[in-house]
Amino acid sequence: MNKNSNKNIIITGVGGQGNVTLARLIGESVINDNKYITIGETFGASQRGGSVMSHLRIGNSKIYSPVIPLKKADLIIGLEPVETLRVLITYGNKDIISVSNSKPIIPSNVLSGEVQYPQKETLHQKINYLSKVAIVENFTELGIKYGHHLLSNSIISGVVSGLKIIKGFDQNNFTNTIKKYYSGKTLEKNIAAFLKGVKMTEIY
Amino acid sequence: MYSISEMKPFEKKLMMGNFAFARGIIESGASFAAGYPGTPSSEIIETLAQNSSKTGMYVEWSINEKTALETAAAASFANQRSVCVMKQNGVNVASDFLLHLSYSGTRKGLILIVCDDPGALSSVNEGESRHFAKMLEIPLLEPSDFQEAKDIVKEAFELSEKLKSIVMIRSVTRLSHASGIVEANEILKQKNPPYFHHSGFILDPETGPVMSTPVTYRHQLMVKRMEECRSFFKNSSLNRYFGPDNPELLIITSSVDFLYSMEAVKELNLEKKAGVLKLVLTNPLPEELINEYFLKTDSILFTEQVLPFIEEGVKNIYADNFKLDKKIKFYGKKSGHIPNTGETDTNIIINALSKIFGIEYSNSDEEYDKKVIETAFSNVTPGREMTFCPGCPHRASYFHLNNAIKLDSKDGFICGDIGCYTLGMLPSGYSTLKTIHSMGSGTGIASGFGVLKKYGFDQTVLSVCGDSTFFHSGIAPLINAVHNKSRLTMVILDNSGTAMTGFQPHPGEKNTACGINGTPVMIEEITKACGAKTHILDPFNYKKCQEKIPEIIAQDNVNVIILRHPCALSPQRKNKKYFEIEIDYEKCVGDNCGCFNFCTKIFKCPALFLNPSTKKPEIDKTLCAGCGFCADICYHNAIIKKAADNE
Repeated sequence: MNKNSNKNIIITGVGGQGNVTLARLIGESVINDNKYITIGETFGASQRGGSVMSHLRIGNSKIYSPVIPLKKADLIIGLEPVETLRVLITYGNKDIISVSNSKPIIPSNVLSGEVQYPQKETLHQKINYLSKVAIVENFTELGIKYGHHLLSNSIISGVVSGLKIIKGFDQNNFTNTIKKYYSGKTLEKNIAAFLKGVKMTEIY
Repeated sequence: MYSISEMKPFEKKLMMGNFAFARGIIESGASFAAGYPGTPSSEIIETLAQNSSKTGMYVEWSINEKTALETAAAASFANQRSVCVMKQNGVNVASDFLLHLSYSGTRKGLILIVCDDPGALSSVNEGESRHFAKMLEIPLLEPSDFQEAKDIVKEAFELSEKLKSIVMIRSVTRLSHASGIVEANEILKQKNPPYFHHSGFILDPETGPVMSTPVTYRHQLMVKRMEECRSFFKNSSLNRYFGPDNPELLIITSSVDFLYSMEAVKELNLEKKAGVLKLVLTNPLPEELINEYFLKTDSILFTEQVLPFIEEGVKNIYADNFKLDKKIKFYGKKSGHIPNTGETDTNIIINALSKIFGIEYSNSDEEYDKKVIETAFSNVTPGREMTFCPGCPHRASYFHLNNAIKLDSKDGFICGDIGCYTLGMLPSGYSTLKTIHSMGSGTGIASGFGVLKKYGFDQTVLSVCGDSTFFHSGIAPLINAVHNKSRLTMVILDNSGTAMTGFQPHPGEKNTACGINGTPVMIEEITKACGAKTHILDPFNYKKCQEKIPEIIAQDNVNVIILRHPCALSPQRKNKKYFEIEIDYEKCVGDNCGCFNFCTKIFKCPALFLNPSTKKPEIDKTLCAGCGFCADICYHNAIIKKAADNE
């Protein structure tokens, strides 16, 4: 839906899932490949269990607003499936690609029994329905398999890299950026998780 | 740590607006910074503090915004470039001093950076700070993007030094908390030995005493100062125009609305018809410049955040312009083209422009829209209310307080204020908070309720306030309550830091902003000295709290309960569990228990949920913080806690 080659990416999830860090990581990774990068964050509710979004705009034509207009996202990175769907409804369009973690985080009105959390299959089906390409996986479970549930975001980064949507978001740039945040074993595990993610996209 | 002090000139970095401000402050050679934390402003002082060992800057988290501004002013009086940072409601707190500071004037450059929160993304108000600049007659600058956020700081210092006045910079959430690429400049070295000259002639701005009197004389200087400011900005390149020479429609804008306006004009292909005049100096408004633009267009649209500040100012200039021989049509908040509440965005401006130009704008695809509507109406996106984190001591505290109020059966309630614990108004805090206003106001209101006993008022009154809030503005109302023999229980939810904004230290702690040893001032010593009976409890000590709190709140005097336990996200607790929690499914009988799913439906910890197929609770181990409170509340002892093994 974009008029130019710039990419509009929304990272969505629940406070505490590493949303803001992931946006920053992708942004910093591609700073040498793109003239313009903006990130618009809503993190007031960040670690208080609310919905959190980061708007990431990347490209070589002038970018003004750090907030992506309605229906104008090219890629959604969903760290929680209901949040993916929520953003698809507001920012989606017929060309949108979504990468989503299927692991739910139960909102308090579901805990209290006021409303139901949708069935796993329903969520998958709806995310598929509103996306041109949808990758829905339990990245948290995969993360646990590779050593820690928090590795999920690095696997997701790998998937995004493998889809080749963001110019310059490759293994080399990812590694150079994540080095600033982690070292030793943690760094190694994150890079390994990233590569697993890249591998997952080979079928696309 | 974000090492912005090490950036070389021309080096580019992806920077959050608040980092850009911080870099601008460092580049300007400021030697003093003070503030009180508040979203979206906190990262400025935080970043300056983190870089202080390299820059040598004195950085302080002050007790409140008024004191922050007073300390920063002292540095200016002693010939140091100095900055003070706060969120929008902070200016209300600081405004009494700010009024007098406007009269007294300043010496070396002094800047006040205020971060407003249009749409109240992380506030309990969407207060507009720009009117303070107008009311108190001080210059106001509004940067519109990330690079400008950095560059404006230097300009503001120069302006402050030229006018001998504090200069206010207004940011908004979408600038402070958004990021863009910023290029660094050189760091200016300022070396002035601090000295306060005070023995000169009373009216000498350099050597005399610094005070707001003689009032009318000083006020005259203020009026002159604003005139001087206007002429200083006459040829400034900061106010900029983008568009055709004679636009059909002129958009006058400031701050991030400039970005939204430019994008909206581009999106509608109106580049040849609409022009955008971006104002950076918005108090005093650049009158001459605006008068020039009146000659170039017949219609003006104002795009700005919160109140119609520029809109009213420009209309004033229009009314004063006797030479103008034409009528201009104005669009904005007054005409209903831009909403009066909430934040603006590109879509809002696209809608306003479509209406004005009679364009039908549509970026939708019929088939996709149908799918969206179908999905939206299929109940697959349950709302997500904010909630206390797993392991949060506030959830346990509200659990106890709610129980005690219910047991007391006098229709009791809690008066609250601002912090994570504001969520006590929501179901996750058992909806126990019934008044929420400014910092510390819960106890002030409770003090008022408590004295109504004279007229037969006998509801149980409690107030809550956080540890940082206690220092900020909780002490005065407590003294008021004690002195006037009110009846209330003040609950101080002490989670060891200013948790909501990212664990900035407060006067109760050993650390100061720069990590050097401060002198901790103990909350309980203060409350006792105020004459309030003081009880200290750990909210995770289930038994003791359940026993003591009902006793305390039933008393007919002023009591203080300090519920003390560090925040689950605090550095000392983060990623460390006290307990591993398991559910003993032999003991848990689920729906047949008679507890009405107490641990899930009532307690509402995000890490403990009811599995709809088994009808039994389940622990989400990726979320559980291992506080163990759920084990204490289970009637059947079916939730087991075992001491955790933290590597």
